[in-house]
Amino acid sequence: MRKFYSNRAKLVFLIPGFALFSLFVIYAIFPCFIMSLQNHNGVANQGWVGFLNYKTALTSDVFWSSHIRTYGILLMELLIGIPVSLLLALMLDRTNKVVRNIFKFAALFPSILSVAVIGKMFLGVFNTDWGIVNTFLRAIGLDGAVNSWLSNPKTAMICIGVAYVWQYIGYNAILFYTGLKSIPPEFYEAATLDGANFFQISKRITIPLLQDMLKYVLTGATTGTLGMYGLISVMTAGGPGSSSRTVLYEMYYQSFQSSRFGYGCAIALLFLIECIVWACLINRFVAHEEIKY
Amino acid sequence: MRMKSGSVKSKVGKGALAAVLLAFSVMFLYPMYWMINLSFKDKIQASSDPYGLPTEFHLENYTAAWGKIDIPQVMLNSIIYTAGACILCLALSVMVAYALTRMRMKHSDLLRMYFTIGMIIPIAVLMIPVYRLVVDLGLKNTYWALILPYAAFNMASSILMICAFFRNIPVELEEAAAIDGCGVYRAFVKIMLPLVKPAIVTQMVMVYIFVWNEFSLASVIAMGEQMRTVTIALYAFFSAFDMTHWGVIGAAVTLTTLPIIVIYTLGCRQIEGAMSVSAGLK
Repeated sequence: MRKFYSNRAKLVFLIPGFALFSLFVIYAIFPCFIMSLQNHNGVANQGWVGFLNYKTALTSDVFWSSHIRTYGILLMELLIGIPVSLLLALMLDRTNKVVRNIFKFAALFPSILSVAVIGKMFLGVFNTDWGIVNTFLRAIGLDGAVNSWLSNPKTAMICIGVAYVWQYIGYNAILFYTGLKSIPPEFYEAATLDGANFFQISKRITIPLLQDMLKYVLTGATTGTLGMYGLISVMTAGGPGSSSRTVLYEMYYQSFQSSRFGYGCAIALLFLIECIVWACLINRFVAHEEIKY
Repeated sequence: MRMKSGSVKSKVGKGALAAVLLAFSVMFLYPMYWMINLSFKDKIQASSDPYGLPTEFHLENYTAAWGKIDIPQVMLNSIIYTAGACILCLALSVMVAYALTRMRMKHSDLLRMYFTIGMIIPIAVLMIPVYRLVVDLGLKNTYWALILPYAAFNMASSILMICAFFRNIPVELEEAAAIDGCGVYRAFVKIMLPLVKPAIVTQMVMVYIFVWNEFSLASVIAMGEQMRTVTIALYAFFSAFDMTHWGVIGAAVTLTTLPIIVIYTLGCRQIEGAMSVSAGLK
């Protein structure tokens, strides 16, 4: 067998993939770091500035307010989106086949639409004159709550968050549901015989046994939410003012709109470290016990 | 787990469950229905009566949208990007996964962890360096400009999943092949590839969804009129014509989304299957 897997064969199988991955995902970080030490306008280096770009970022108001917005959206996703998805999955497990198939079709639908489409749809939903939200508010007599949602700096970010959470609620629900399907039914039978109710079963059996899926969904949702960018471009382009810029949009804005590529790179690297820290934390604290059936 | 059927309480409960699930289903589908509905209305009806059914069908919205977006061209672009990234990503991933799981290499765990990094870096964070890299390599204005980075970023999840499949294949299969004098390349193509076909198909679906909708890289790399993806073309259309005619907006959305809806309706079950397999990996 040793001859069968010759060293040459090993290299032939490994090198192309390793090279492509290393070039675009890993190597790309290094020029980014070098650029972050420069005053770079996207075309040429205009002088070395050391760690000045990092200092500028860490003392910039927009950098920190964009952090608050980024993590605000993340909290929306983690505290509203994921629990609702989990609840929907638990419900989906106990309903009949027709409803289940309808829901499955509908749930995955938003996740295949492009962000340009979703952004535009929600511009309609939040439209001041005839959008769904304001029409609804007027219909139930809450005329005072009618708002120009997306041009109000206080609510623009929340609207983007709503669109984002909406897009992935169904997707995550289906992921949780497939996790539920992998739990052996004997567990439930035993618990039902002991007289446990829905909430006890969910708390003691379902959710602990969903650990792996929970970890997968949490990692995906965290990376995805932190990396959210397209919806902002389409819905508000970061505005009004800078009131809906997330960290990534600030990075884009500073580099591609203001030609401060060095500064943009510094933001990118700081944020990259944050993303890796979050992924490691989730990996460390969620589902660290091995489950054996 | 199943509630005792027949009792009034459980019937009410089942009804309530179904009602909530159906309400959510409507919530997921309504915006698209609304866009299609708007696409048939003229400017006056679209803004004065956005929710009612169209009083007459204004197909000129579609001709207007078709005239402003080069739909055949951007569709073709998106298909090339998607197909290219899918094929390249899966071909390389399946080879790497085979090397990592079957070839008894030193440090294969370390290498697998190295590839995992790709899963925790959002692609948009590396927008600037990838953009620079593409320019430096002279790839701008070619299809490779997006195919290569998309393939690279999707390799992490593909490799992990295909590894999980390879690990379950008994070693005896290859031993038999080796004894029969079959070389490693032939054994790979003839024996191993067919065995991991489900994983490859599944992962292709995931890469397809990702690439078709990717926005951040496409928006900085493929803004040129000839190279745009459908998503970017739609975005450029919305921002260039500061649109207030929601009939035309609806038509543009419908035209560009229809192919996806058709594919989705046909392949919905495969997508769900793909999700369950890809999430099953540790």
